[in-house]
Amino acid sequence: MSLTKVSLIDVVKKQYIYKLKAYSQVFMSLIFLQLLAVLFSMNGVGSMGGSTGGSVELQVKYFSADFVAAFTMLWGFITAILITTKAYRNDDFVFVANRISSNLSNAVFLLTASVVGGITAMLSSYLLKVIVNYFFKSTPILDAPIELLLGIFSTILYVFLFCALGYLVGTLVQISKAFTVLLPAAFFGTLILEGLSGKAGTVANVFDFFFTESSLVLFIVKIIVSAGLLFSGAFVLSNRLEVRG
Amino acid sequence: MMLMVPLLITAIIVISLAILTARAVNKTVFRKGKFSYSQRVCLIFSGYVAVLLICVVLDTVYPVKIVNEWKKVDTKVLEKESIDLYDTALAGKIAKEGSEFLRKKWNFDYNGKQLNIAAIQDEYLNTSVVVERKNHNDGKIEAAYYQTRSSVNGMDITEFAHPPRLELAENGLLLRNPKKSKIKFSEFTNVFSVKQFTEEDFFGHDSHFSEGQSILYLRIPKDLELIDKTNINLNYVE
Amino acid sequence: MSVIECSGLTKVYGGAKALNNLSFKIEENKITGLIGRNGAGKTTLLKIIAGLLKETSGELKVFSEKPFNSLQVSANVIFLHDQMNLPTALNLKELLETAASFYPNWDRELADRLLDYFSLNPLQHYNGLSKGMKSTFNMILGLSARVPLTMLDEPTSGMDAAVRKDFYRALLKEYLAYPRTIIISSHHLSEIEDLLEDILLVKEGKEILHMPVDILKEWAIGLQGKTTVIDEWTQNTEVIYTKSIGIDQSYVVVRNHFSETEWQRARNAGIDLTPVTSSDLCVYLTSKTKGGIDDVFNKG
Repeated sequence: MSLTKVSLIDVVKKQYIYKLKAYSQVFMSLIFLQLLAVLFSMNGVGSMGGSTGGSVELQVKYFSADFVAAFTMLWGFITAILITTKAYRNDDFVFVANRISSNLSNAVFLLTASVVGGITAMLSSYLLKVIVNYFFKSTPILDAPIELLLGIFSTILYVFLFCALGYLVGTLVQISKAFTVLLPAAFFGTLILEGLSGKAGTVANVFDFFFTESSLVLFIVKIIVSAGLLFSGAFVLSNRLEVRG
Repeated sequence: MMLMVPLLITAIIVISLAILTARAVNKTVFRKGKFSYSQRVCLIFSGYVAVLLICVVLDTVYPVKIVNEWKKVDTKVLEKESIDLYDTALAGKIAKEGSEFLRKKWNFDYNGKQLNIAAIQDEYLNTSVVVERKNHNDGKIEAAYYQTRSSVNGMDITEFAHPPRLELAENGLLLRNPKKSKIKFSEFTNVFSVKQFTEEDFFGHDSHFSEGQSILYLRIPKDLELIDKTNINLNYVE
Repeated sequence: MSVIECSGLTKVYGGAKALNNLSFKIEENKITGLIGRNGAGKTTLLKIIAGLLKETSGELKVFSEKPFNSLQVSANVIFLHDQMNLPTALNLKELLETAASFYPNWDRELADRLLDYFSLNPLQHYNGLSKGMKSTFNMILGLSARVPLTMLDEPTSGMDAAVRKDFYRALLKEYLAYPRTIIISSHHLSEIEDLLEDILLVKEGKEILHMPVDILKEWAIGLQGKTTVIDEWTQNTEVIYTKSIGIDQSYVVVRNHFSETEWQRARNAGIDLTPVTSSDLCVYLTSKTKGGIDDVFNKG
């Protein structure tokens, strides 16, 4: 029997299509989380109050897709961790795979998931509008045009960043179970220490690095480079992982 | 809390829907139906997207109507109005040029030589007081309250601004801030990922509130001496 | 061409040596049986060949390449075992379709017909199957893929006798029609003896012997007779296995070094010569002691 020669791109393509079906349950959890977020948003995602101006007491309730976008980012993070667990990771090796192809197809899958998540998150702002408008007409409502394309694009990027982070975290945990304790401890420890010292620490700086960036081009570059680094880190680390169990 | 009941009901509906969906999807793993799991997921997800798209259409076709017919205003125009009113007041021309902003008039009879003027309980008066001395002593004090338009987030809320309260009592003319009027409304804004590019303030929900200029214009008899008891800061027309 | 070339292969698992300096060569288009006790290292060896695990030391080349992390090896090797991770979201039909997309030689009709013959419902999910049905499905995957190196680890576990018979027949037919290199690890050597060409016997991570089945059948011989006589005859030969029968009789298994005339003399001396089945021989060769379980009861 003659040997088959395969190319990496070919295998990655086939694995990607395979994963779209095999990992389809993540999209169910996306729906659930987004609906939950819409629910939470129904009492307003923020409010402003106060007696501004002296004779007028103002109470403003704000509605937006903020919660939905945040939940979607969380979903991206969790999904990425999920697909690094044994059960999912080893699915590839029944068929044709090596670690690079497996990682690449995972990355493409996560990108697809980010796109889907970003689009639905932004569209859900219309759902929220309709619900609030038709069912909660108690107070006058101000409308603002929704920047759909910009919103979709930026949300996709954010979700993808969180996917990259989750993938690295998941890979680390696969390499050594110790990270299940180490990573959360390091993260929360840093948060607490920074909170106590009162100074702006690393976590706050990282936060600002992305969330206060006002130039779209710079933002895109930041996200792509960071996600690239996180994924590369995960790829390199997982290259020596054996397929056990 | 009026919103709680419909909120609770919707919450129950959404959560039970979610649980039912999750269960149904899980059960189908072992069910011998015609569709496979991934096909079912595809269907449910398409349904979800369809619902979202319907909402988009709904929102575009029936845009959110502003209840109470608040009008949109240009804050720059309002600013100019405010400044102009103040200037005309000081110039004494307010009766003519500021007439569209006249909100309330009072008339008092007073024959004394001196009049205490005070703000009740020493409170800080939100309105500027401009005093014009008439050419003669007619024992009448005319007060007129002018206010330019106020807006919040670009919407006209002038109707909520009330004039101050005036009372001629034994110890003088008492001025009092109006009862606070409460304005409640909701606003749709963009996602934070959009706001970080289009606005300056991330995480902040800006409320652009401009109250307009309020002027209490007093026309007093020529020789009446006003004694400012509570540091109201009276401005006299030249 | 050697499909698999292995020398000095060692694998350490948490302090214990699963494979200990293993060396062998497997030629193209042969059916080899990988035989050994539980824990002898069979599954570990197969996993390393398939590229799932990495060897600790030693050399292993599959199709002239190192198998770990190799896409070429993965495309030409299929390894089916009972601990396989198949995604829970896909049903059997979709799994077969996935296999079809990955393996260019996949025979779709054969797979469908086999699925039908063994009464497997294509809409069912893998983890809902019983153990025997899982093995059946694994077999369908393995046979229909027509991969140059097909490795089956305990392929018949859980199967009932009828299915097992069918499996052997199907395997043989496929092999004859589309020859490929096949490695089967199994406990039921007696059943698959007729199927196999070669046997690779492994004990505690080391290869004991590797030879064609028919040679193995002649490799050893069983001697039964008076203990004293037996002892005399076997004093210069390595005894593979001894068992006492009655008071003064014993049964031993030795290498078949002797010529025809020597055997005749043995018979004249009152020794019974019996052939040893490959299955029994493998058991004796891989046992820890020279005696059997009787010794446990005797000593106690």
